[in-house]
Amino acid sequence: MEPSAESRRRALEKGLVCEDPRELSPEFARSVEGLTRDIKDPVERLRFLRNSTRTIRQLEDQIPRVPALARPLVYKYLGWRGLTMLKGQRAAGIRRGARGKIAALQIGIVLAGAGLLLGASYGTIRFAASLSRKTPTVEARVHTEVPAVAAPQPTPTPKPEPELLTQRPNSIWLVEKGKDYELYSNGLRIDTTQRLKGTRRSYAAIDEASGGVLPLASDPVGIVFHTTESDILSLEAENNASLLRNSKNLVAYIKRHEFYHYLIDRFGRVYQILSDDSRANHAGFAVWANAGKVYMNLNHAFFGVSFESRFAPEGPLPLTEAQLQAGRLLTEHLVRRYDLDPRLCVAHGIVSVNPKTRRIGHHVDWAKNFPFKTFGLPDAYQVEPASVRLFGFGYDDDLAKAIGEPWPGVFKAEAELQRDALKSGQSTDELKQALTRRYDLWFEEQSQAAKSTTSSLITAPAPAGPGVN
Amino acid sequence: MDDRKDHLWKVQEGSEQAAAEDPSRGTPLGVDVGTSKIVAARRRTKGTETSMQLNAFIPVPFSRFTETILGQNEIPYFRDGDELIIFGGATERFANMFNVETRRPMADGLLNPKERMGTVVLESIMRGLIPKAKIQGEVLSFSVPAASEGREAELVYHEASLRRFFETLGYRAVAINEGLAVIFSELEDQNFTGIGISCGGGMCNVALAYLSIPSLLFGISKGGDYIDNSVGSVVDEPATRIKMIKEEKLDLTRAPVDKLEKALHIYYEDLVESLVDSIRKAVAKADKLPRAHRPLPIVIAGGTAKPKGFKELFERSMKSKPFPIDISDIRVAADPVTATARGALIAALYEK
Repeated sequence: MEPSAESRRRALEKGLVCEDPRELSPEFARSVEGLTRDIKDPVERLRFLRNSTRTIRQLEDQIPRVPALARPLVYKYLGWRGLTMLKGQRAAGIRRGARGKIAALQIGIVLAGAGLLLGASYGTIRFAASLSRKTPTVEARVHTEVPAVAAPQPTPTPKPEPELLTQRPNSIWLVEKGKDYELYSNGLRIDTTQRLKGTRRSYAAIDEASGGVLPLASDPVGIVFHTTESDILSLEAENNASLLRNSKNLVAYIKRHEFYHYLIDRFGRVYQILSDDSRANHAGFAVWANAGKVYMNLNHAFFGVSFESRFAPEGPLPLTEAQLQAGRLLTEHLVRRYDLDPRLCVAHGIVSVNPKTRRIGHHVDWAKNFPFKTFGLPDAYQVEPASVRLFGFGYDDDLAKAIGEPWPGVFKAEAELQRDALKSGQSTDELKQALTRRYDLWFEEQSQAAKSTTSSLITAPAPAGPGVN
Repeated sequence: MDDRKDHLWKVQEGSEQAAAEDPSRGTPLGVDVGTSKIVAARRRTKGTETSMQLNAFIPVPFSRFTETILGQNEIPYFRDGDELIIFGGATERFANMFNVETRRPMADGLLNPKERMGTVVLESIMRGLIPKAKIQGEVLSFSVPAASEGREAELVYHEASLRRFFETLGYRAVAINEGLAVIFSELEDQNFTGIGISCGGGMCNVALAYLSIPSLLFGISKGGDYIDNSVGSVVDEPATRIKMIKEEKLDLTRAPVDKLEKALHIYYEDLVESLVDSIRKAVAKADKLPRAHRPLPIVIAGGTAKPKGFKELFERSMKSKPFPIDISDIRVAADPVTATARGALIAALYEK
């Protein structure tokens, strides 16, 4: 390219000189703009628009030859192709969706072509048959012509791929144990190089009916799923060194602060940070209840399992395929090994509370979109949260801003509260106030119960760390 | 160990630590090199972070005492022969103290050819705002005005000088038109379609873009400085003082209470009239306008658009005569001063 042409191209690209946008037809603009709705990142939106307009310019000689009726389809197709070129993890869902649409369009075209051919062949045969009935002398000619018309065989409809019959073990056992790993029969491999023996689990749940403290226990009862909210790079080979470094730093950091029992990194590697009989600092101000038992500090009773990810309520699932698979296997292993109640396998965002402001959703990771079904768990979003139903906690605009509207269980619990208020002749606010006092009382009771037995197991609440009210 | 600790508070700490520990991670930068202010924008975990510095300086006679005072008060300066050159934010304070005008490394959107110290001061100010690139070749996008008639050669020199300077800091520098940068930062919801106006100190830059493609770019050599100088001359006050008053308390929705305010209103109206008239003429005679399928929005940014009532003034002027294309709405950027830098950042991230 001539230097002047090159500098003009660069100037055009940077927007330093004007371009001629007249060939960008309104139909094209409408079609492309309709596809930008899901692109939240301004940079990716810009990339998509620039790619699409560049492509349409390259095809400006061909477009007029396309019949006007078919042009919107061509614009759509080019738009989808543009979407497949988006970068970054957050656009993964959009890329997938666009690829699916392109594939569907291609299949549609093939099927339509095949249908046309079949129709033409069938019509010709019928026509020939009707002719043969009327004029037998034509029969020979028609018969000889039919193969000629029918010669291009219709493309066979692609057969659906047969479902793979996989085998799953009936029980999960330790297959092999090495110096730095454990391998289980369901395929779960746990990296144990960083495993730490922390403070032993010991907690007291509250009996929902009586409000009394239940005997101290040390067995885990459930799982709280988290995201690390750390920096997430897109899963591309060029980021390999940084991805590995991020995982390493994260493991070291979690270990230093004893945050979770397990971490699943972006490549699906499962690290055990704290031994299963230790507590972890993952959900201190959190509430969940099941089968008449209320848990008001989930650090002891629940496993903390965190995915190296950033919670994105508006976007697609923020997990890699490998993380999803590893998370499923780990959940299966923990549930079976410790006989955990699946109803006690929950997401951090729906158990987290702020006792000072009496609000739910203090942390919002997985307050939406946790794949309970994929993990073989009941949908905890449908369950009335104890924080609302038993303790009258509410929510504010901050939660709505972060995740849109709260999960369905919250609405059910609020409706229940309104009914209770009506029955007792109080306003809902009065009832809520009374219930929040119950929270303080029960929290104190369970803390005292744990402390009185062994003060070293559950320490008294100390001034909160940054970010915790 | 605190029993109530939750995991999320560690995140910021963790990510900052990770960023600090990872030398391979550079940060693309957007820089608005304006006549009056230089603004830098970068993307952080929590969102976009901006920092700015006044693009002005004032020389004072050298003395050990003055130098000590400047050092003690952490006022940026450098020595040039028998003068101390004070630059950046403290300049206006000193100018008011000595009742003199500040000097500018730039004029009318470009490097000031009449200012001997211009380039040196400009580079000193930018060094304070822009760190060296963490990785060689990190992208930096900087704003440049549109080429006005007869000043194309000056623009080439201005752009090349800035590019070379940024390259010495280790960046791959790309230029972006100011008006287009405003469109990038403010019209994302419109798919970067509409008219972006940057009303700066030296000039007002206008861009009309369709799906992010600029189809009309131009500027007028009137901006905040024109208002300050004109008002200063009619009320006999230094322009630097007028600028401070204008930025602190001007309200264009309120009737003026004194001669100074009256003059400010008059020259603001004049500026807006000139701007709207230029846009009207440019759009009317443009032969490369897109066949837009919907009315276009107008977004205005820049420090000169900051006073209360600027939008209404602009709307009045737009309504006074027919406009050649349909306009959907007129808005002022949420943060007019940083909009161009934020748009330049989007361009840098796109280039990365």
